[in-house]
Amino acid sequence: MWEVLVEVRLHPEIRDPEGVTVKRAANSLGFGSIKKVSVGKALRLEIDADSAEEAQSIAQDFCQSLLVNPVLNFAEISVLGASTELEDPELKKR
Amino acid sequence: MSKKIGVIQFPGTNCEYDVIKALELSGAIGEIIWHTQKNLFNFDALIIPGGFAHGDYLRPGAIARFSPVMEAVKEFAKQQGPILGICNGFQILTEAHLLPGALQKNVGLKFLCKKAIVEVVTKNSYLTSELKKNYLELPINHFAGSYVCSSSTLKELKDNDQIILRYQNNLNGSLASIAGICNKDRNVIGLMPHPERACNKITGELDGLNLFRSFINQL
Repeated sequence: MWEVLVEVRLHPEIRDPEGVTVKRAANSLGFGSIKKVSVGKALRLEIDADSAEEAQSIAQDFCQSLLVNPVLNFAEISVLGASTELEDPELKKR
Repeated sequence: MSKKIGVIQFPGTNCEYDVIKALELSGAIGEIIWHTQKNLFNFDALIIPGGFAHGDYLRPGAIARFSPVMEAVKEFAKQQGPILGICNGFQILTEAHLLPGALQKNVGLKFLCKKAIVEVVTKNSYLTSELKKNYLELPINHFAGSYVCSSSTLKELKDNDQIILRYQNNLNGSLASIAGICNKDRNVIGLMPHPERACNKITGELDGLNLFRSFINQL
């Protein structure tokens, strides 16, 4: 089992109203040094694969089919390492 | 004989009965199609109504695109069947690649629920061909209605007369103020405003009813 982090981000040319709003809030709280905020989505996947490369490739295919709309976003995939976790905590209880 | 329109219902769709009422007022019959249905027979047109299909999780329309009914919807589009996507329906049609571009969160991160004045950019569409007016008053009700596409897609939309409706006051920050478009074959149309909510004098203008009547009369 491999733990994989997928970061779904907006293309730089797509307007990011969430980023603008969070940046404004940061500045109004006194974090004046924060000059830009980009909001995306992070998903942590546990993938049953034989190697890190295979896990990466499965995550890549999944991103293309569902997680990313190429008009709006792109994904950064990082294989964090081997994981011993079961995907569903309910299963562990049994 | 009255035209029969399939109105697709996903978990989270919430404008389907308003659309059926609007179809009735236009002299057609609407029939609900649950999203797990795999075959569509004997429909003159399809409508994907507004709402929050599959909770809008990930992105509006991202999961709805994979509902079993969507294969049949794509086939219907391929056979040149007329398909109309309203609000969430428009978002689903872009995610399913039946319409170009995408709908991003509104500028200013505002949920917009108000009346909008939209300009009829072209009457070369089954939705607008019978309209007498050039400006319509239609309700908008959305959080992710800001239309975006690449500059090459925008050029194509303009060159092929695919922009059907445009906001007079671009509240959601749409590219080129786009409120509604069609595909190249002109049989698939998506729009963010809700014409089904402008079909009765009690709630304002009848501009939505005129859109539905034009749509039904072309079938």
